[in-house]
Amino acid sequence: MIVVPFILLVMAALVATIGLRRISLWVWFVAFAAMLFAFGQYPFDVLNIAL
Amino acid sequence: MASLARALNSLALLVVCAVLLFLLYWEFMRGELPGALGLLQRAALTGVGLGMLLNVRFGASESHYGVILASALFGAWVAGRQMLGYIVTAGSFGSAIFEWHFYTWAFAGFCVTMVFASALLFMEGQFFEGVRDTRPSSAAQAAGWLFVLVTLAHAVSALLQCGFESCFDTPSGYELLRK
Repeated sequence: MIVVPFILLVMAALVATIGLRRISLWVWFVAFAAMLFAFGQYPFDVLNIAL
Repeated sequence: MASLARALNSLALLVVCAVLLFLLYWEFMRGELPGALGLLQRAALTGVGLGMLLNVRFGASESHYGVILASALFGAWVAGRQMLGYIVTAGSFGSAIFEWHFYTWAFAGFCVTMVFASALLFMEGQFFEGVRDTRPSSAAQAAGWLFVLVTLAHAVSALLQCGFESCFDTPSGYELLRK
């Protein structure tokens, strides 16, 4: 699933470069949500035990 | 003031591109693939670069700095998680450069980015012109396309490494090429 934010970030950079600012911001927002989701899938067990 | 802020954003965008290119060099020439958390830090760095690209291409806006700060905060969070994980288990991952591992450099770099973006926010004169879609300078356009290409290279690398599934913590190769 980590590849999804990368694909979205490529799209955001591409539409920003061709001049579509608002669409770029919205695509980044979705990419950021995908990053948070991917990070949320990551286990925190070791840290929870230690901290 | 606006031109100074734009110049600093351009410079920072080139630094981000250089770091992303260095990471590609390290991956393909040295054969060290990033783990799952490393890929997330790369995505966060790409988000930082996108915010700078927006500032260079369209002029300064609070929302563009929001993209930079949110991405840097997320990157520092992930890098901090990775650092703490290895402190707890007394281990490490990957090579060290000047005695710091990549995730330690990433944590420091994202913190510096947050300070940098916060300092630029104090330059209020840059916001007076507002956001506009003017024809960008050829240098800004070139920096934008360089950033798009570097981001695309990282996306292809992540796709080859993980496909559309979860990535391994300690990757052993490009999973998509094995199938």
